[in-house]
Amino acid sequence: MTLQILANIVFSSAHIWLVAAGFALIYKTTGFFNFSHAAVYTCGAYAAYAVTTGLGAPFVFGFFFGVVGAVAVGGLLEVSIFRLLRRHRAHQISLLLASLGILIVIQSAVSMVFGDDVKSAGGNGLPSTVITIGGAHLTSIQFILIGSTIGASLIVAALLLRTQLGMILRATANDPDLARCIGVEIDRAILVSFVIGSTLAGVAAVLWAENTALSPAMGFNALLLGVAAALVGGLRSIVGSFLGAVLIGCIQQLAAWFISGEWQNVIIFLVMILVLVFRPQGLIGEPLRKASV
Amino acid sequence: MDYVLHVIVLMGIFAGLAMSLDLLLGHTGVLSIAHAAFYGIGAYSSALLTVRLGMSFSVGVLVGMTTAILISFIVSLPSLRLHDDYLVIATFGFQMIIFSIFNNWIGLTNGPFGISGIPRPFIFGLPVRSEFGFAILSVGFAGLTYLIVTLIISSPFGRVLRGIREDENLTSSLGKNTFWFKVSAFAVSASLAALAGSLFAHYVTYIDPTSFTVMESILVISMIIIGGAGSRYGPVIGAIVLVLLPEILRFVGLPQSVAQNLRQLLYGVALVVMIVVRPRGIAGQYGFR
Repeated sequence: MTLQILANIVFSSAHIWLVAAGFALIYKTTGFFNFSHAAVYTCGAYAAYAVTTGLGAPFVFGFFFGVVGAVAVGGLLEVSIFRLLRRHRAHQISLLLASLGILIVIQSAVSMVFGDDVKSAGGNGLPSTVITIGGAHLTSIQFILIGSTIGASLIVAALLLRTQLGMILRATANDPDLARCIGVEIDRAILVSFVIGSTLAGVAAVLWAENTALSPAMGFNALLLGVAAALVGGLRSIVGSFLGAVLIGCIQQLAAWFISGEWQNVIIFLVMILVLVFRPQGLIGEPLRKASV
Repeated sequence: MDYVLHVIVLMGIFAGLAMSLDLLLGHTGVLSIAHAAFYGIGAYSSALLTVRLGMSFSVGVLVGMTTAILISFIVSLPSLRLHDDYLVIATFGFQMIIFSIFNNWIGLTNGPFGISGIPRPFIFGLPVRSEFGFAILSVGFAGLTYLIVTLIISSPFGRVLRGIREDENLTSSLGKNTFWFKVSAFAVSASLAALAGSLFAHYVTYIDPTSFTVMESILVISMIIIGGAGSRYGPVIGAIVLVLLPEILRFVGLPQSVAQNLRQLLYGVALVVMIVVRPRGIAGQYGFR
């Protein structure tokens, strides 16, 4: 039984990391909490759904379309709304509020177009076997998600640490004004971070939809855990969101097993608030100056 | 005519919610997403005391407001140490926690099944049964909220709040304990939200957790942004606009489910448009610069 819990934790943490990493990356380069990331997630899942269930396309096609859909939405939001607000020198809070508004708009639109109900994804051509390792069961979809997460994390880490693009992103995250001084195009760097973040969200969304179900609020629910994970782990470091995701995944699964599913949110958010108050830089991160938090 | 009165009741309730949150948002510069939680605390206190313990309306209201104040300390003491985005996230976390409690503490709140049979209130011995009576009560409560908020914002206390909004460090350097000012403003704001919640509970006679979600908090924030933060009339204007908007949709004759989502979509659009085009809102003073 413990092995099953462990397997569940791995799956849960993988999913949470995909959302948290994208959210954290966008926060690092732009400086605001982008709640519309949830809308990007939802759009990715429904885009894949539309293609597989609406048009009968095979899963791989749907997956690709879903990720592209997520990137399109994320990129569009940055280029149209957030960039405009940055031009106006809007405060982080205005950006946060705008992102909340966007989330509401997109979530309602998805409800209107697809309906409020919980749908199950098509999964055409997706192997639906159960793999058992030493007593723990994981479905093939869950395996695919875990594998994708490992792959994605390696790609993102390599991108950020080894390429010039990654250096530009890290420079923008560290000090946008100084980066601008040395010739970095901040807007382009931010757009890249949105693209990367939205890709991760899209992957998470499509695979989660196959594993569980689709609903208009799925992005919001996923983002709740992602935000908690990103904050707990530490927004400033790459490893931070990873650690945060594992921790939140643990809390979620252990709470579900030992207490009962409904209270998991209370525990997760209590932990998040405790971290915010006592260690706002997260578990991994240099102590923030008092004025910045 | 009953319909018009119903709309007036809603406007009164939401005007109260908007004004109380504006004390925090527009005047102190603190964005709290936990307002719906305090709204809910007022509603549930009133509901539980009148339905389960047979208490009177006024007792329900007073206990609701007091409970809201006490719980506001639990929320504000940790959260107000943080600033800007982190403060918002902390209040967001508390909103989720309190909502979870409404939804999961079945023994107390009946969870998702809600509490029904909330009796009509008795004001000075007279039962308030008609739409007209409720409209008067609602406008009365909104007026009371307006008086309290206006008294505060025109006082020296209010001036300090605005100082905190503009430059907390400067205000602190002038010798004001900004933390306690913020905590106090938070408590007042929460108690007035609970007042609106009590009225809501007695009006709709059945409450469940779905009326007190994050979306509700964001709705109230939208009202403030659209109407104008930091002003006396701004939140009221915002409440009127956002209550009227979906009612106008009603006449277009859309199916119920679509109408509900369209209404939310329009709220979202209005919020985004306002932030981009005119963060000050229709009649506001404070544009989050």
